Amino acid sequence: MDKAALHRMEIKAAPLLERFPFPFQADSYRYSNNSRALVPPVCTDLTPEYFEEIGGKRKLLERYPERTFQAFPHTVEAQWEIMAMLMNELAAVHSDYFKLDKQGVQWTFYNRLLDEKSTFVFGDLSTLPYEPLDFIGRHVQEDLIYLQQRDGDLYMDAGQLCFPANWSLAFDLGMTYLQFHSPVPIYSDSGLAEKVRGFLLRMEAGKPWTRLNWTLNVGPRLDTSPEAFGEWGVGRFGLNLENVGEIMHLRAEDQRLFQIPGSNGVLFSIHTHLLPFDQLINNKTWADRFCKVLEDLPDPIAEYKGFLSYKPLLIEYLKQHI
Amino acid sequence: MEEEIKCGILQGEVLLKSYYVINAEILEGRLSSPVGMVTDGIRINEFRITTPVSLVKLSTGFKEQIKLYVDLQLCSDDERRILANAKSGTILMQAPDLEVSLQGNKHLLFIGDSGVLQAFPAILALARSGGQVEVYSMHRMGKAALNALRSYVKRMDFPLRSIRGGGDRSIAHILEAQTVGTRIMAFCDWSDYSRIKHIARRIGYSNMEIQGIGIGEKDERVFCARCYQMQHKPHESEIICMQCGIPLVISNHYSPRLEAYMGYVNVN
Amino acid sequence: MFDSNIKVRVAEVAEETPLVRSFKLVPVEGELPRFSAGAHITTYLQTDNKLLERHYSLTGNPKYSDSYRIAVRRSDTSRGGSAFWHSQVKVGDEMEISQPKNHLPLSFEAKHHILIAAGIGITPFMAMMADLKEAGKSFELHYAAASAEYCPFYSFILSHYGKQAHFYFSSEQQRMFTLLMWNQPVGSHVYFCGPEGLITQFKHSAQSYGYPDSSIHFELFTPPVTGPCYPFEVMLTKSKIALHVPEDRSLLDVLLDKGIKAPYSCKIGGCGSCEVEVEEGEVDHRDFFLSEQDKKKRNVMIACVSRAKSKRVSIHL
Repeated sequence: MDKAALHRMEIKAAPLLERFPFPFQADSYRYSNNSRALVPPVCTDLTPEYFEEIGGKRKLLERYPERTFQAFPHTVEAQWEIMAMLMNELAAVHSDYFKLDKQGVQWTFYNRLLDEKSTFVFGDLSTLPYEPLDFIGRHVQEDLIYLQQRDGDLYMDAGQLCFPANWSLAFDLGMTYLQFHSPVPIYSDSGLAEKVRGFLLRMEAGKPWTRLNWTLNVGPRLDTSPEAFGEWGVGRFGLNLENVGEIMHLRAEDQRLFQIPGSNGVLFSIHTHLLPFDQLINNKTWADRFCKVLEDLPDPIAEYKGFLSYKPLLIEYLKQHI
Repeated sequence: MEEEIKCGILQGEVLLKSYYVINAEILEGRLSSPVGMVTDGIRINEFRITTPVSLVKLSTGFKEQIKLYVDLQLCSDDERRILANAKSGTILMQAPDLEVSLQGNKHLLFIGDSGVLQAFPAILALARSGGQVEVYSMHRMGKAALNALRSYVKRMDFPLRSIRGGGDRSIAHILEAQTVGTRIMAFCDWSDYSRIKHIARRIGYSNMEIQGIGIGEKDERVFCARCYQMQHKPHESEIICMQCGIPLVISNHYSPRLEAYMGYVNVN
Repeated sequence: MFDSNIKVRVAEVAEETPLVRSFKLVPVEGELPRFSAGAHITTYLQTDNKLLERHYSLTGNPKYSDSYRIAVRRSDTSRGGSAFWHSQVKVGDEMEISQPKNHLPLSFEAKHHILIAAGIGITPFMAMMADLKEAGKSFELHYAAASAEYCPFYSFILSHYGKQAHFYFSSEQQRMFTLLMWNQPVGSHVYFCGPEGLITQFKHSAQSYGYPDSSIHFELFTPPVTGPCYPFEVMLTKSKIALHVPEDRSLLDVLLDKGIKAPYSCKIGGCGSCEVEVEEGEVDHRDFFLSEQDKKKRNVMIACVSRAKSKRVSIHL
């Protein structure tokens, strides 16, 4: 029995269907700057899937370090700042599970969920087993991306990414906001990406924003990286009305954006939630709305999100169960 | 593919044995940049020349005049005949797809074999605008091209120097010695242009201070999504990764840091 | 309600010069957020009849955020802010400030930083020089003031940055010429902070010396003077409201008065936060945020300072 199972505390929460962040506000979906102020201004969100997701994350980090963590040397200060911000938050907001003791620069961080205690000197890399962003990322379910503002643009200069929706941190590292969004149809060529970039550049510390992004997932697998496409990409063959309810998942990304004032950058966290279709249909309002969204969705967006070829099947399934 | 710019031919003549230059005045349309290149060629009266044409805009008096340069060695016999007979009539062409801006107080030109044609209009425009210019020939330039360049540059009274040994250090040495206001222009093959860009960026030139026209085949690369192996980008859109053997679909997503296009795993 | 503002207490007040006072602010509880060099805070001062919002650059070393330091020059043409700071604020006073914001960050790719200041414009450069020196980066300071006595932080700069600093005292007939930007090594960036006239003059010279726009950085503390203001009408197309903007108020003022949650930050036309989409009408641009390209291609206006050339404008709000 692993240590985590022995000392496991439980994270109590409502059933998945009740707490799932349904990403559609209307019967139609288009790209927009759908950010709203994050209230309360908290980045981390703990769900009962914590142990499974942290376990999965840490396995990926050990096995595929180059894929899952990348950071330019000049981001070290920013990483410390982000780590401090998240540790302070975890200890304050989730005080049942986390504790942070500070004796000057000597910090001790307690994760009661995993029964882990880490002592280190804040600011001294040699006292941490991983770079600060990589370290704190191993304690939270969110993927953490750091966008540095430099010379008038935003650059993806550091990140820990274990559950990407088919994009590669190893490839995108160092790209500007417009560059890493260039594959997204409509968003990148309509002027919307520039508008959102302007919005991000003018974000203020203490006023975080949040938005929901979505796609569809074949199977319950969180790691849908391009690197592993050979493993998960084949799932879409062999879908039919009998199995689609169990296999297809609505994948929602709860994204939270925080301006990091010391380094003048933006922390962009992604918490991924999966809801299988056969559970989604238990909420008739959602099923109805989702069906309308799919029917109305322009082909380029469905294609980019990878489900254009079996969209009719999905709509048929939903219609059957509304 | 509509032609946007219409010019009236004023005169044409051979320049330095291997080039043909036409003087024309702009009748319709406008050039946004004073120096540029039309890579797909132009139409002279009813005929079409498919070789690239470089041009420079000279604003003299009432109507804007331009000078068009063609490399006769790249032309077919028919095209050479068309040019020789082009003493009057109309030229139709698309707006230049490659443009060069003349901003800056001092210009350093790096010119390779393949870039001499493209450099002429820039050299002429810079001479007329009166700023300081230094011209450097890239290492191992062909004799004919070097002679043509030397003759042309001499007319403008600019210094023409060669890069000692042609290596990165010599280029860096020249670039480091410059002050703000110096702009770099490269007219050479893609690999030299890329080298110059890297060295310049490292020294502190911003992207705006470096420009040029790269000639010939660009050696582009593909990044394998699965194993991260870099490999040559062919014309086809699907390849097999040379390291892990997985089939890849080459996308348009480009990484400036890795200088490669993303190759996604193909499961079809 | 989640308020991002910070409650601080004045821990120290010092006379830097007969006209300039510096203030050390410490948090009432908890810790202050870290800040980046060039950042400023907005201070909220409750006077008898209204709440004053004033921006001040943080002058301390960004490495330390146990306190924030600002410096305020007593201005003859004060709209109340500097007068309040000089006559009313004393040690022990508490007030609210915003979190730090940076509209004048250091360039990441610059190889050499040329800082050009006049008078109280030195404030953002104090933090920048601390940063640059810490990082071992190349920089020089050119600082114009009336005299050593009226030069804020003169002795501090001499002792910490003596090698890089050049002073120009008008009382000794020393003038700071734009020529100092000429013949600087490639990769040099210039930064200006001071009165509008100085910034305009140096900006134009820098451009003529060949500095690309991306190498020129500046921050104004007061809105640029841009000529007479005329009243105009504005139609909010989304909310279907028509408003009148009198000559002595800005579009942003009128929107906020009406209770419309229009975003804003600097209020002097430099940061772009209050940008609104214009659907109809001709804009009289008076900001220094939008590029010439932006002004031509995009239909937007900066609500805090820009006005209308036509009788009315329609904006998407």
